Amino acid sequence: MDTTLLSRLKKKQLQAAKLLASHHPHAARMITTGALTGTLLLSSPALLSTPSRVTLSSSTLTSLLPISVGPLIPEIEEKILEVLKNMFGIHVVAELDGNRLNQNYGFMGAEQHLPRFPGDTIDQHDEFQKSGITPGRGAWGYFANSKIELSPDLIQKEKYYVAVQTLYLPDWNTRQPELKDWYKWRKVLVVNPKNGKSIVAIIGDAGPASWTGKHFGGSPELMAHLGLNVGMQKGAVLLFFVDDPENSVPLGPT
Amino acid sequence: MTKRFYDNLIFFEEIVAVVGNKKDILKIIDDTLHTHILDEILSHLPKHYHGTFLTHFQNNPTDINLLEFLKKEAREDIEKVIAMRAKRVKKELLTEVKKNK
Repeated sequence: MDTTLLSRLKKKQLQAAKLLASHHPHAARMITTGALTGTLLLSSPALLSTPSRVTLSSSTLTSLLPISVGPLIPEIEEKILEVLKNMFGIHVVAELDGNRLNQNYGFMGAEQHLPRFPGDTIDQHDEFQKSGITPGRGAWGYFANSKIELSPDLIQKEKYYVAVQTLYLPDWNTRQPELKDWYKWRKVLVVNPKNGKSIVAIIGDAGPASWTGKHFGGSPELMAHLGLNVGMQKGAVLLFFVDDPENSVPLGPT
Repeated sequence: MTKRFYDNLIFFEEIVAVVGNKKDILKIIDDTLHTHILDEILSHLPKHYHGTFLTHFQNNPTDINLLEFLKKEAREDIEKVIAMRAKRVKKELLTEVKKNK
């Protein structure tokens, strides 16, 4: 009698596993309860594939990060920096020259293109024109004084820029001339821990305002590479300084 | 049975009261119920939080912060939907158990 009951219950168990796998196939591969793992593997051959480097990296980062998005405690920050250094071979730091942002783990939202020179218009940007262009200059002004002076390097800077909340730094007002220069085009690494996508960018604008609920802004190209230019166009990211005195780390996707 | 952060919402004791001490049956029922609860949670949690939630759940299934996180980020009253799904699944499974008696 119990054998028959066990068979019926196992059938229910398998049905539940198939339901979960069909509703949430991406999540099903992460689930590792003993009986459930075997059942899920039987119901979904895709789960047998080897995880990619991107999958492994996002899994590693996600396991280290707190469940709520916000400033990282020193122990977690240190572990994450170690992971990122090993993963990307880039020397990333939370503090550089005695300067650090208010947080390195926060929500990033979509920004528009920035005018790169006086008279720059959206149709002169080669990609993501639908994102539009800001009516005014970014916090550090134009990238070039004229279109003629817009070098390939400056084009890359505008393509892969981030906005950070310099205005909320505790010493922004007292050290502004010095800090403004220091943060201008400062190289950063941005990582989407959900999918492991990462990109080297520069700080090109200030913001967003705290009432937006976001802590960073990303250029259209940057958001697209990180997979954040969909839906609400907002997602949690890690953002750290790149310690690159030789300027040898190129901008763009890693 | 395995301790999890949502245990006080599902009243597994009701299952134990009917099944008794049959560990193999209790284990399968526990697994099945858990799978359903996960399906319910993931269905109401925005997709971009799934990896984070599951990783933290695997690291510490009893962490009460998981429930607080779900209450904040899920689209529905998560305690209510978990309880309702548990009630439905328990009824279905106990019907199977009672057929044997």
